[in-house]
Amino acid sequence: MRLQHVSHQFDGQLVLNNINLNVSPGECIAIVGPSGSGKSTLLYILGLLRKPEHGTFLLNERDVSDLDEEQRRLLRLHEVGFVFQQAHLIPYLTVLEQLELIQENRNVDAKELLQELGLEHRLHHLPMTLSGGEKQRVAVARALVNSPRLILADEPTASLDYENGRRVMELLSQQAHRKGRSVVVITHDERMLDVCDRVLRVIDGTLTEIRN
Amino acid sequence: MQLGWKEMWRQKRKFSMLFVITLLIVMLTTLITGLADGLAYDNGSALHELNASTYRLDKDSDGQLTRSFLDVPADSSIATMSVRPLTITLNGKKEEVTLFALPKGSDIGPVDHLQKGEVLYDSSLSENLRSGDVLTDFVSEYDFTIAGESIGRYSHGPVLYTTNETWFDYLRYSEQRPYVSAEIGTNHSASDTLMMSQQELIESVPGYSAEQSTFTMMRAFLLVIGTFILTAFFYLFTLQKLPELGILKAIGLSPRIIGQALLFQVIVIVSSAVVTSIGIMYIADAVIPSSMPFIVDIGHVLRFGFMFIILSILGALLPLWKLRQVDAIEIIGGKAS
Ligand SMILES: Nc1ncnc2c1ncn2[C@@H]1O[C@H](COP(=O)(O)OP(=O)(O)O)[C@@H](O)[C@H]1O
Ligand SMILES: [Mg+2]
Repeated sequence: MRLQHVSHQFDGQLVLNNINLNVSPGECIAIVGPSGSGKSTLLYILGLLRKPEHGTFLLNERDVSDLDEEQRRLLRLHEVGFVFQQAHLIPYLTVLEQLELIQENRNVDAKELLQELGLEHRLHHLPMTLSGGEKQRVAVARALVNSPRLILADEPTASLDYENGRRVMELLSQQAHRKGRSVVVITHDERMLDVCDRVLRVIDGTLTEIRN
Repeated sequence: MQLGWKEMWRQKRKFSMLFVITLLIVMLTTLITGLADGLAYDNGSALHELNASTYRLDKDSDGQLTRSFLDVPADSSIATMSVRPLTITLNGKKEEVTLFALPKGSDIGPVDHLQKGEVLYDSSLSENLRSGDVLTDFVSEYDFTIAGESIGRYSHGPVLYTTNETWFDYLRYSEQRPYVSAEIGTNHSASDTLMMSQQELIESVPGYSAEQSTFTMMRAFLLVIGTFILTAFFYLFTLQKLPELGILKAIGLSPRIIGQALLFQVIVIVSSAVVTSIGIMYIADAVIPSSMPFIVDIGHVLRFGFMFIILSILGALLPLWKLRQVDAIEIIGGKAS
């Protein structure tokens, strides 16, 4: 996955300025930076939720910077897994059904996946009966159910306590290290950075590597 | 489909409330339909029962048989009918009836086997009349003899059926100029007559159109109100769900799946409300005293139910449009810093 010379502006305000970024399979990178610096915008471009104004985005060696909405939707469904700050689970679906709703093929056993994330005793529970950490792990499972090659997380631990946040971060980095996926995590929490291979900082619209 | 069903099943309270509101509105519509049909029957069933499609009336009659006076046609092959309101005395009591005089041997009406002076009566006139009983016209003192029963109401009163033979006999007896109210089934159009279809004739019965249009307006309002309420509820439900729906959109779930779930819910709620209120209508029909005009015309009720279903599907376009408008980023970004 590769961004080349990507720039993006809102109302004349340059938020991303000539960004170049490479994430290889099996790599977990963390992105940090002050609030409003453009981290989320970068992630939305990576997640095909936003088109970059300038530059190219190569996903699996294919230029996807200029696809139409339906093609982007299908790519998001099959190639990208999202985790956000809030789990936003569907209140009237059980844990297992949350996954089945978006599952595209039966290659992945949703139950097995939930078991790996320590949710085997929660399969038939509704979200309102789960703890915050459990909800976020369901969100992680939902992001993984279509075996995406790219996993994107925008402050996935911000609404969790340290223990639960740590667990979620480790689950995400394992996706890179054990399953060979590309993982990009935005975080504010310095204590979580050690689970990632590289840490990048966004400042004034540019990306700098602060740790290898 | 499954998604829509699961939501309703697991959020029973929310959806049963919506169901009850919808049911009340549909019920009001169907009960009013029952009443409207009942009144329509009460006002024009005698005309409904007639077996002819065109009628020629006096051009000054406003389409009302009781105000139409035509000369007796010279050509005796032309079928005619005559209608006149009468006050008859029955066991010393005066009753208002409408006399329908019809030709014999034409299956226009039920008068084939009647002899001169004989009539058929609608049972709403009296419950304990028997063949051979005599009804006397108050003005002329002409005697009509009961020969049987036959259903027919006109202008909210009972009808007496008789033959044209009796009609002319009655006019002769009371020393009135012979006339007929209408020629039946003739097609030549003279300028001094009014050509009418059976439906037009029924709609011209005094009060009929006024009554029916009042009810039609009430039903139209109820349909609009019902659609409006249903749309508002589903719109609010959708607004409540925007965060989850935004995430699903970001994930890449086909918007069609969510749209289908919503349509499924609208259709299930409205159709079950229609089916339930039809059931309630049949119960009402059994319970309501027969003096109150109320009829279950199932075709008519189904037509309104169907219209309500179509309207609420149209109403669902608003929340569907809102779903399309959802900007996933705005919703997700609203929470993250
Ligand atoms: N849809 C938008 N319209 C206009 N400005 C936006 C929009 N989204 C983000 N911005 C602006 O872009 C900048 C970067 O936002 P964001 O990527 O959310 O930063 P971060 O995630 O690092 O806090 C902020 O100044 C923000 O106000
Ligand atoms: Mg952000």
